[in-house]
Amino acid sequence: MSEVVQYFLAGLGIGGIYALVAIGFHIMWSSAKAVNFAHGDTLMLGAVLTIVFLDFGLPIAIAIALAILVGMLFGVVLERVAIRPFATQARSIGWMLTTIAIGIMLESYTTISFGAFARPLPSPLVENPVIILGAGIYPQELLIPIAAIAIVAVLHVFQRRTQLGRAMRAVAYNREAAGIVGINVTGIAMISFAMASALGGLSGILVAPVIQASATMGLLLGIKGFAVAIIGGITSAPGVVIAGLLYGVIEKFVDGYISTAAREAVGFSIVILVLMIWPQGLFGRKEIVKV
Amino acid sequence: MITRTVIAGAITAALALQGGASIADEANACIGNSGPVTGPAAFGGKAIRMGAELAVEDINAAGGVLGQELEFIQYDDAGAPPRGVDNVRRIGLADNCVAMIGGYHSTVALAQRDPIHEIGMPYVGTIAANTKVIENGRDPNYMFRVSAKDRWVTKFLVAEGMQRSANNAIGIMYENTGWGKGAYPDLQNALREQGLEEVGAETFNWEDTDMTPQLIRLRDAGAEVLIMWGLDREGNQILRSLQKIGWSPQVIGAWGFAGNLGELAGELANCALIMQTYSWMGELEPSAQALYDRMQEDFGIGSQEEIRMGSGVANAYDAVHIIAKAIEIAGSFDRAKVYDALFEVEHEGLVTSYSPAFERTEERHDAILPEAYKLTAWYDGKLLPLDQTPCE
Amino acid sequence: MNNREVPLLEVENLSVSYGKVEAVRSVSLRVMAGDFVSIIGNNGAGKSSTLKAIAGVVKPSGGSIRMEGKEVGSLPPHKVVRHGISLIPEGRQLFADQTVYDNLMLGAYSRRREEAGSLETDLDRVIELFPILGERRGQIAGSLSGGEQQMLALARGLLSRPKLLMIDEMSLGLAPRILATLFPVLERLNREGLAILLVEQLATLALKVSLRGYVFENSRITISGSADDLASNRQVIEAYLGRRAA
Repeated sequence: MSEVVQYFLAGLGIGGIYALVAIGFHIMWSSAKAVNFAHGDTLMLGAVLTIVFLDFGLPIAIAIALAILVGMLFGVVLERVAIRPFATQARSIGWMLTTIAIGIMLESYTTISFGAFARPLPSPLVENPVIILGAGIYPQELLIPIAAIAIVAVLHVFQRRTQLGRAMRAVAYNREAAGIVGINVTGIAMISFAMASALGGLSGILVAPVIQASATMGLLLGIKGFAVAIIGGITSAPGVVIAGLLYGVIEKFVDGYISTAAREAVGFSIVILVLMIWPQGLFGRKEIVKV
Repeated sequence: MITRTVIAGAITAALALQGGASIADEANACIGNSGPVTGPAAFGGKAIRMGAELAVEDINAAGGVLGQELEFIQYDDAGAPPRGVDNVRRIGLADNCVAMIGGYHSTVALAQRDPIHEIGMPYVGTIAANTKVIENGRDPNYMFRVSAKDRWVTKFLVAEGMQRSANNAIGIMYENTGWGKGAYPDLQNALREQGLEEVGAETFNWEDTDMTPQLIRLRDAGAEVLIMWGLDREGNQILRSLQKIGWSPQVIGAWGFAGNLGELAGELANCALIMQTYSWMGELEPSAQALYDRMQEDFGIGSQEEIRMGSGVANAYDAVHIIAKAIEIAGSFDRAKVYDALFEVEHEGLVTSYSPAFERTEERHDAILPEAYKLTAWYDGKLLPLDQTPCE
Repeated sequence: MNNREVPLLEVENLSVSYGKVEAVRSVSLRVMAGDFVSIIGNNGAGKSSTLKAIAGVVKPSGGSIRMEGKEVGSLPPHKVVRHGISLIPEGRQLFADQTVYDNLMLGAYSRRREEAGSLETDLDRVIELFPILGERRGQIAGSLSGGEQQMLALARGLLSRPKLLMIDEMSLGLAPRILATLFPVLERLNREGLAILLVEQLATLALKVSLRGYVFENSRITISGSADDLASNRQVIEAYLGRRAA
């Protein structure tokens, strides 16, 4: 019995990480109809920079704030440099290549300057595991899915109660109409990237105590987070969180009852299967492409 | 660029057709190395360089080799086999060095066997421990090694594991890569030689963050000792997963966990036993202390913990001295003569006494015998010789 | 009207091309302050494209567009709104997944901080014009009827405090009795000082409420004049007024 609980809780922990990454993709896609394929690296930036600033002797709160700020700037610059030049052409996909390329460059540079060892980001919530129904889990691991759910809730309120939130929804729904009522559509795209990157940086800081910070930590997370966003329905924030948590739990049960070698095969097969049945994702809305 | 490659290719082909004879009868007084200068294993390249350059300093201070000054040249392979192969040719043909020492990655070393034998240049490994790098079926076999041999390491780990398990119940966790998968059959053989079988064997992937499913299975199978084969980052997650399921077996590992496991896992790593050929921690013998002082001066090393992959430093140091002695015995820089002379070298090294360093069997192209392997233990974030810790 | 006044909107030799297709060919028109101007003509004659070019939704390939003397032809849509031009697009283009209230608030998005104080008043005013919107305040815009959606689109457009309201094909898909309530609202807004530029398929109705008109044929303006003149112009009657029911 405790085994089942162990796999379930561990699954929520890792699934929460995928969910956090997926929320970032959701925010970018809704407003900008483009994503940063280097989004996983915003997590890496948040975690790595926090450690670097701590090395310099900054207090933890300032280190975190600065790291998130730099992450946000990265998103803004990326949108300007790698996405916007392609946004004017209808249905262009040049941004896919540019963001992938920038991600690779960032990882290489970080490997050279930060080093290749993984380094811990200390947190009081990973010192001792709590035992729930016979299964051990670090409080930090449970914090992560809770944070994902909380962020979606905040996002929900933000979208419904603030002008900026309404404007982002409007841009996501119909870019042209949004412009006509006076919304600066490219400005909104930039803001959405800034938000997503700031969220990414924060996510990296939340997960680093569990998985350790390293130059390559964002790579696999970015891929899985994107897959989760797609199968959850990238247009739905609650959808991607549910998909993320489910995916994490399934991964752990496959680990437990089949084998670790089978994990990726099963996981990605599920992605393919879901998309064959629900092309817009489990909770997504059909995308209307305006010509 | 293309013309140069064509010319280089033509030269190499011509040499290969000559059946591996050297360009000149006498090679140059240099020892080359291909290692990770950049990339995730850069600490390994640095360790090799430190050991080799300290040895070269010693040798030149005592008058050099056959009256000539010895030079050490390191090229970057960043862990990529094709670059390792290129570097062998650069060292053996362009630089025409008398010999080369090996690098960090076993995958690179395996790829280097072909060009080494094409050129006929002695190669002495310093870190990469895969068994088949040295036991490769060639005759003559130009691959030598002053480092660990995975097959012996696995025997060592099994022997140490049996000592600490009342029921000889050994479980194995190994990484799902060429290195881990190559070591697993050696572990099984080592167990079989003792009339045992593992109670369970599980794998994990790079960047995995949670190994509780595998460890639950090993625990339920009754394992008392856990032999791990992997690297620090995953080792940390294994230790944390052990904490989560409340299981504390004796943990024993190969030297992939000699980097920063103690920093990552903190107290959880205490008394995890790690195999090494040498340790620079704690009290040092005078000769080692002198070398450490020079490392601080020449390479900016601060405290002893900053020497990562310390075994590699000592291995490379001994390897260069052994090569230098072989050249003296041969009386010339002719590679074939130096090859023969290697089997006559006796040397008091950092790691062990080499008497002799090598013998003319495939197995004994490895200079360091398992009796010389050392057990270190993580304690309070430091990797110390076992007797300098309260661990058993 | 004084002909020497600076026009509110002055369009000169405007051309719009979609790839190789010229949708608008060298069109010139003007709207004075407080004016009510209709644009009539067949489908595909370039009427909508003209409005879109003025609003900044499409880029002109030639000519100039000046609002109160300032060139706005190359501005993006959100900046055109700041110059006092509000477009009620063809098909309404509401944000159907948000509420009536959200849509209205988005209409007010571009208001500067000084205007924020009067937002409450303006909201009250549009609800007074279209009481049904007050009743359906919290409802999802996509669930409104066609007529209610058109009202919401108009209300949304008014909240940016425009000096010029441009309406593209308001009557499409709406029943006559609904139109009968909407057109008087336009007249009232115009009497209160709002300039209106109306693109409308129902030519008779359009010419009844407006003061001036332009006729579009094959991407050009062929006839222009006062609404009365156009209504009694034989060509216009034959082409647009006879065959269409008012």
